[in-house]
Amino acid sequence: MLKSPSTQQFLQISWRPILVRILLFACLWWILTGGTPASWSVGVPAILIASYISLRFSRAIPFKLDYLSLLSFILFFCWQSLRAGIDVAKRVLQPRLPLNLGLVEFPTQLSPGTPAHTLLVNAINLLPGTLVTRIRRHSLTLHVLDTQAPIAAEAQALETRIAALFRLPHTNSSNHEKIGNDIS
Amino acid sequence: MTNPVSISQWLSAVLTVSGTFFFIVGTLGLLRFPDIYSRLHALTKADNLGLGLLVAGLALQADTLSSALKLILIWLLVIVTSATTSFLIARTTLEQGIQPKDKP
Repeated sequence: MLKSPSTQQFLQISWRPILVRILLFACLWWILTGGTPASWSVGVPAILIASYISLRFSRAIPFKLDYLSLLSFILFFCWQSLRAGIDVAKRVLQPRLPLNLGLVEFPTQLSPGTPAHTLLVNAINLLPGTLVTRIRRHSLTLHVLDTQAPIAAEAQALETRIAALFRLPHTNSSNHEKIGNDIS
Repeated sequence: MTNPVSISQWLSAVLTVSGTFFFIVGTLGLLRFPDIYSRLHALTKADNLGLGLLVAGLALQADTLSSALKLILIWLLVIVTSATTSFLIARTTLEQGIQPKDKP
């Protein structure tokens, strides 16, 4: 309250997103140019312009990452990519082409439009035998290569990991089947 | 025989060859799978792994850290685009009323 207007304005600018962008674009420039010293005379203005444009066009959905979960997510993702590729190879290379195609509805707790939801949709497409075909408010329609495979459990495990990654509250509900049984 | 250079070269060769194998598998899937949806599975999953192994193999041969990271960056950009485009193609197909086949 007692602070002068200019100090308040200065404090109102959140510096973190600006610094994070500058750092990321600097890393990107270093990777692209191999760190040639002469390149920085073009690089520094490019980094600043890119950071400015990125800030102007970002929709500013704040999110927090848990870095330990990020590491375990990357390992999980690589392992699942390996499984997914081998799964496709197994099916393709058998003469009788073992497929059990179908659509499966997967209820999700993550809300559409958030970074966590976007990551979920993209990661499911690279997981073994699943492909998102439709996004609804509380669920995803998945196309699966094998309807007999434990799709719901695997997608649930992925969702739990993503929730942990973005530090979101998440109840690991395996009661979808219970609800289904009650109705039938 | 067992000096580090030759080990990493062998590993690199194994990774590159298995990467190529998965690219062939993806193409076979494109030809053999029955509908758009299942063909998308073959392409996204096999190519993600194929390119991942290829990139890992080539990164082992890279001279500098930044060129190894550049290869990994290429892999990341490709998997993001392939995951997103496969969803967009699948969604458009479903919206047009093309139902997935249930048997090959």
